[in-house]
Amino acid sequence: MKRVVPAVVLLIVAAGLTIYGTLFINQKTSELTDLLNAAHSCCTNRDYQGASDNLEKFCQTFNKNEAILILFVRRDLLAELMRIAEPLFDYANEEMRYDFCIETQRAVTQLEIIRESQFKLI
Amino acid sequence: MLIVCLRTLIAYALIIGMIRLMGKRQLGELQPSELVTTILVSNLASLPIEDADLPIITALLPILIIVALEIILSMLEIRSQKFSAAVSGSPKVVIRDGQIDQQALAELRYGIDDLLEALRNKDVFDFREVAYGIVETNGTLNVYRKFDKQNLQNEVFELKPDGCDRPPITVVLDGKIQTEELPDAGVNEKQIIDLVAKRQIQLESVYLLQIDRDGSTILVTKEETQ
Repeated sequence: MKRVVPAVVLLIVAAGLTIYGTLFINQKTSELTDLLNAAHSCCTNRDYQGASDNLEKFCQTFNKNEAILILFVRRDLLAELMRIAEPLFDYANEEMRYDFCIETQRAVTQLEIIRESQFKLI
Repeated sequence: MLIVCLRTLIAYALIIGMIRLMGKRQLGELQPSELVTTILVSNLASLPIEDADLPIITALLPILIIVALEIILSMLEIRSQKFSAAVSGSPKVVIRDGQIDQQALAELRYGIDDLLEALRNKDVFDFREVAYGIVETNGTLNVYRKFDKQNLQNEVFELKPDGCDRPPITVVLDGKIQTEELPDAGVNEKQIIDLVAKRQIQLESVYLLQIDRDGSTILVTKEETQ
């Protein structure tokens, strides 16, 4: 009987971690996707300042939550997301508008890959 | 490199803790569920060491779940004999009084070669010497030799056993009558109930009741804590 208590505690911890991780990733990836989509639509409307602001918020949100995200998401997936997102600031201008749209969509796709790595059934 | 070392240390400490938690059972002969646990845990533990990109929590979480399930499963097996039989199976007599039970062997998918090899491992080279050969749930064969083959003295002086030539037979286990064993023990259910009643204890309070070869009984009652 004395081993059952730690076993139940382990199950509760595992369930707690799973639920917390799932909710956290769901919430943060949605938040980050919204910011990228907002940046994309600003750029489409030639509002480059708005696009830069949204990108700034994206980076801040990501950096703030990176320590927890790294506990649940593969490092290479997160590194790839940042590799795509980092040069986006340079693209927020008239000349690079097309590249900006393409690259934000790539970042959104990468976020979708991160979501799928957690929520895909099999 | 440092990450690999740290991850190895974490995985090692966790596995040691989990094996301790699973208890001594895990270190001896393995039951089917224990074998599955051991294989899965050893494979899962190596994943975060091999793949540094894998989050360590995600990699070690399944180990926590598997170990917890294994402990709960073994607890349920102790509580319910039916559940235990469904998960781990039950011991099967494959040799009785020097005769091989071919049907029991076929059910176990145990070939005659396997049986002879297992007998040789027990230093038995002639199956006719065996009074009882039992395949345990972990797949090992245990034998009870015929009385005259147990030692040279019995054979040379043609000594006879006190009663039947068989090991003690368990007729009540954890408060439940083992109906399949009763014919071997030469008793029926009513006799068992009467026997227990005569000792002024409830059948549910009996932890173990065995009938020895001379017809005497070995009774162990449940402790208060159980």
